[in-house]
Amino acid sequence: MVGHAESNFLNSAREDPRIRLEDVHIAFGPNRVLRGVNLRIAKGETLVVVGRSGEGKSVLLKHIIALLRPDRGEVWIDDYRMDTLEMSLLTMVRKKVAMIFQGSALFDSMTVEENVAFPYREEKRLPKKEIRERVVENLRRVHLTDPSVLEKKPAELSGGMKKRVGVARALSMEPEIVLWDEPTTGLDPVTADAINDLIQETQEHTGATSVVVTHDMASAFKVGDRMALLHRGRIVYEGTIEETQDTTHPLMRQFIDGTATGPLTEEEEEDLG
Amino acid sequence: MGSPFASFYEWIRVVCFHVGGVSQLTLSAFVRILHRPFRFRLWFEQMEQVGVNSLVVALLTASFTGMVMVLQTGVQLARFQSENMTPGIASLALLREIAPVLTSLAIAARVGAAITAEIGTMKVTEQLDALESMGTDPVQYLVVPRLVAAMVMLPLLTILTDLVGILGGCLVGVTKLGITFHYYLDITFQWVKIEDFMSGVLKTVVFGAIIAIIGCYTGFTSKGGAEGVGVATTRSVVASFILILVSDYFLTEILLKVI
Ligand SMILES: Nc1ncnc2c1ncn2[C@@H]1O[C@H](COP(=O)(O)OP(=O)(O)OP(=O)(O)O)[C@@H](O)[C@H]1O
Ligand SMILES: [Mg+2]
Repeated sequence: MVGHAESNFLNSAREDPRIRLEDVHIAFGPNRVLRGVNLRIAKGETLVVVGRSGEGKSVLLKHIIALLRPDRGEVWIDDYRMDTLEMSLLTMVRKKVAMIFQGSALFDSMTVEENVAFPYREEKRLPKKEIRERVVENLRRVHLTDPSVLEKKPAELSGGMKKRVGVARALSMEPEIVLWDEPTTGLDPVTADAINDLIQETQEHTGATSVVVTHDMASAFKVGDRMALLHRGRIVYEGTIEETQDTTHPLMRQFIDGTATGPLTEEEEEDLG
Repeated sequence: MGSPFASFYEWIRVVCFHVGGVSQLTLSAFVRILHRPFRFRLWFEQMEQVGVNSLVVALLTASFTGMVMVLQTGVQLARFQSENMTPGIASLALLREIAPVLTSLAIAARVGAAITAEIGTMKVTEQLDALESMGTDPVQYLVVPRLVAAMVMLPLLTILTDLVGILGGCLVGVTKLGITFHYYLDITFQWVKIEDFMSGVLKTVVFGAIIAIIGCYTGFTSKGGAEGVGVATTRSVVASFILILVSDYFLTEILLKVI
């Protein structure tokens, strides 16, 4: 049953992708980070992107909502080309997409409540009381139920709490697409699993499309429909979760097993591509 | 590397880059003042910030500058037995130049630096990215309120510093130079015309824009963690100082013709 759904995602990712990256290149000065990324993500699927630290996973996510623009290549969400889209349309598309930042990126001049309420307040559609209720509900979904947390400033929170407030703020966007940048890093195992459940829940309840960047393989196998490995600026492996679990692909295998020696860690030969 | 010609070329390139960036930010900020959404709550919040942050420093600057101006002019004019002109000359200089420029410099150091530190921190902690990712325009949300606040508050503060400066001068005139209070104010009002006052105050509208735009721009372009924000803050203050002083000359030339 699950396998069936996964192969459906594969087909629909090929034929009618929600998010599409075509030959994306970006360099920061001499540091060539992405060197031709091709990736298609189907509507409603959860794609897990893994890769070693510093490979450019966060950079990849930022390209999807055009916080970074590629030197070469194209980024598409539905029928909108994100990297060249004009401002008013870009704003419209961005309101459907929520990003959970690796470092939380909470507004530190605002309280937790104001942070989580921010997307609602910007929309100006809901009455104050309703906003407050939804803020409390979104915080409950990330297991922050203590009412005293509402009035706190981000500086008064622990790293894990900040992360969860970041997730709650993203939920307030009521997004169709969610980009999760290491949502479980730095959380205790219990809370981490709650976030895993949340990722699955958002997919199931709202049909949201998710891209999850993570180093946490347990989380990856739990939430993902498919997995992709970013290595030396390219997607070198893509497969369904089931395929991936017993893959013989040497790079992917080393990443899953977490061994220090292998093809992933070999010296990088000069790449003139 | 190494050749002075190459590094001069590099310097020109960097300057052009930043001039371009500042012009672009200025343009887009002024366009957005007139466009929805109007974030009046943020505008007033920033005005309060500017006021609170700069009131003490502006008043201290003004009172002591007024005092020293009168002391210097009084003593020098006494050499030509013209000390009765002291109140007029000192007040004119104060209203036309000294109060607006020094107030603006003091506020550039206080408010401009605070703007850069705040926005720079937002930049390096990805809060600006977060803002943008939620479809909120950082220029509309951050720059416009600071620009409006600085352009409104600086003239208001200057009116206040004009007053305090003159009173400070009067105090020195009365206590050190033996001029009577009445005579001091009489002469001041005889010499000073409304144009003198206006030209000083009007200039600070431009200085306010400089402080806000440079503060925001250096914040937006800062990189490299807390250290980078520190560097950006220093840069912001230095750049504002230079731009205020340079534009002061040209504004004065224009204003002398116009009013
Ligand atoms: N704005 C930027 N300016 C310059 N270099 C950048 C910028 N953003 C990222 N980089 C560089 O791009 C590379 C990839 O960074 P990125 O943050 O995407 O890594 P990552 O795969 O997310 O790593 P991690 O797993 O540690 O989060 C790094 O070498 C980093 O220095
Ligand atoms: Mg990262």
